[in-house]
Amino acid sequence: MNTKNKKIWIFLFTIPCMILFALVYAAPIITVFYTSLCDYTAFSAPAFQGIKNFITIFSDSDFICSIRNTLLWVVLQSTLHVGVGLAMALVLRRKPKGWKIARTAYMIPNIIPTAATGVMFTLLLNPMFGIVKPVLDFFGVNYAMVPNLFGNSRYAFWTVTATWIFYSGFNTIIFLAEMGAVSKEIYEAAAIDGATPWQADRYITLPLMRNVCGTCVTLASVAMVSQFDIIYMTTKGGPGTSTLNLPIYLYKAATLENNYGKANAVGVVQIIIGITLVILIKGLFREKKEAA
Amino acid sequence: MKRKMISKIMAAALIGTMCAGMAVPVMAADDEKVTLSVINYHVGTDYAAEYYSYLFEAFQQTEEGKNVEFSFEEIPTTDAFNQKIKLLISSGDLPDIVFNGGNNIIELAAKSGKVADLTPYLDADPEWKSLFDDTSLEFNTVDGKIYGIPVSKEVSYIYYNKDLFEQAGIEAPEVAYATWDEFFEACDKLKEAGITPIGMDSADSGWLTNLWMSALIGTNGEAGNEWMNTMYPTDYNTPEVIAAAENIQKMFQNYTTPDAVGGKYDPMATHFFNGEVAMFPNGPWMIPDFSETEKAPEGFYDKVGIMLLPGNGMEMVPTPGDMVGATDPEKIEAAVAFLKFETTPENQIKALEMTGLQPVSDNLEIPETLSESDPLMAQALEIQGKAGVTYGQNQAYWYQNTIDTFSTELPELAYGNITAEEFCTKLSEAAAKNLE
Repeated sequence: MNTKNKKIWIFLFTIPCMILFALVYAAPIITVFYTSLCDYTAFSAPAFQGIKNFITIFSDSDFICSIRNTLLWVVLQSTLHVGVGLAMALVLRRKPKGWKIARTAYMIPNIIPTAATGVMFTLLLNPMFGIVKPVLDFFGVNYAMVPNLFGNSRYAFWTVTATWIFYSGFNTIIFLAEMGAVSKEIYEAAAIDGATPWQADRYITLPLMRNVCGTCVTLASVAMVSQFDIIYMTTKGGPGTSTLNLPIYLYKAATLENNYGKANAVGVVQIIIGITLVILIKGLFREKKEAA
Repeated sequence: MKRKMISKIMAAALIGTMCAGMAVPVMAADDEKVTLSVINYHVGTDYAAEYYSYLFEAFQQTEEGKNVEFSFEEIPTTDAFNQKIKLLISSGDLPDIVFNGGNNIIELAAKSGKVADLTPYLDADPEWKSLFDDTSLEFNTVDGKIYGIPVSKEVSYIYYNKDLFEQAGIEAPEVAYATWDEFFEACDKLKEAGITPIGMDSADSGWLTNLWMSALIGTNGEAGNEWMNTMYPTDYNTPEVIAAAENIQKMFQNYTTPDAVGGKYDPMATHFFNGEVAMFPNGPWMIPDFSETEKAPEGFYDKVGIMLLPGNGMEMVPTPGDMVGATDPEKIEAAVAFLKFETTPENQIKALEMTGLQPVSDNLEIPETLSESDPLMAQALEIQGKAGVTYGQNQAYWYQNTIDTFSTELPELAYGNITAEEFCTKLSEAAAKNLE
């Protein structure tokens, strides 16, 4: 089969996928882009009005706050969350005693529905009957009032973050799969050369994880741009705007203000941030690969 | 001749067939079922689940309802229901009967053009129309057309735990504390006795705190009362609203449970049932819960007393009514027939007895047996007449996003992260978004 024929076949086989993409993703995305430029509410059809919705959202301090929180969560997720997953994989790779149980246990938070996780944490951290009071009492901490971790804006952002940031079982599985593909002979050669286990990880395992690390960081970042359910279940973006992110802001614009044009303008910003992050992360990891 | 005979026979047969043909649809129409789609949130443990189950069945026993069948979609919790209905208003896929889940969505639905104008049906049946007062109908009117049939009136009082009052050595007022100062004095005494004085919340829409706040504004002179009876207010930086916010801050900081900030209604109600808080603001629909042993300890019903809000205040708002989302004339007729049945005086009394929903019609004959079967409900009905001032509350009168801002900013107010003035400014800013 010559190259030209091969290309035609490749094209033909991708047609169903492209049609599906066009129907499921492309058409809604085009609609979102168009209606973001419209005066479009629950009781009026879209009417073109230019960039007014974008001016409105960018002059709203709550929206700026939602971008700041979203980006902060992207940074935390790309570093701490992926880092925890990688560290766990490095530990499990050595197959210490009980590693299988540990691996399974670490995956459990990832299979619990986020709505249930939200309810669980809300009850767990309830200042009246949750674990906060007994823990403070146990450590002999003096307090005038039991900290309300979800209810007080001083703690809410970090409390909400803690409901997911350490549960990186998905990344651990990806890293473990990649580590399993590294030839044992490389480690044997390093051991013969006198490399300690830490040096083997530092100079062999970690450099070989760059590609998959890029994948994990991309997935983690994009997930944070669209993070919604657990925030909605625990704080709904409050107290104040302390846990407000782009999806919650969008949801409120659509369902509480009934302003679909404005909500879709937020959606466009969200899409642009998501695409920019993917490109940046790809570039970041590609550059390092070439340099290596 | 023979041909003529055959022609006559054929003509007669044709006419006969036509007559028969005409008769068939009449008979078919008699038996033809009209299926009405309903999204029902009165299911499961909902306070009105049993009543609505009765209502649907009883309607099908009536002349108007004998050919009606219902196709139900059940959605537990009003919050989920309200969200779904709003989405359906946008998409135009409303059920034939649109229940109202408490949120004021009449205007949204009416402006979308997806619900039927019920004015002609009310005008055609003066007896039915006379069941509703002008205020209730006006509340459900958009651009001069009535879109919702109100099924009840919303009122609320303070329920108090008699045992806890006795423990603190306080005598509860017969009707209400004359002033808020007296009310706070009682709170101080309860607190001194180691009792948490009041139930509050902030999550979802901050229902309980909303009732306190509405009362604080609505009983604060003429200006406050007028403001609290205003639909879609946009200026919250008035002296009365700021003063109310200051008191709410004080109440959060001094008189309620630690989990009130960020807390939802249900756990707060549990605190009241468990005797952990002394006073709890709510409507009469809570009364059946007091004797529900799955929710409250046995005998709790007898421990509960009722009083009006300080200053003889009582929240009283017409409720957003049930609407008709059907487009087919036959279905509209059937849906209207159901709404008529739902609001008959008999069913309003039945709803009162079974759910605590207050009749939308004035001067209904309340059965004398009520004072024996449900003395607390009878007391609630009696005390209503003693209200000196009535006012609305935020879920009925405020913009949706402002109710949300109220809920998300309450913790900030409670912890002193913002002042009462800043709190009110945030509410004003949220309300202004609806005018952009």
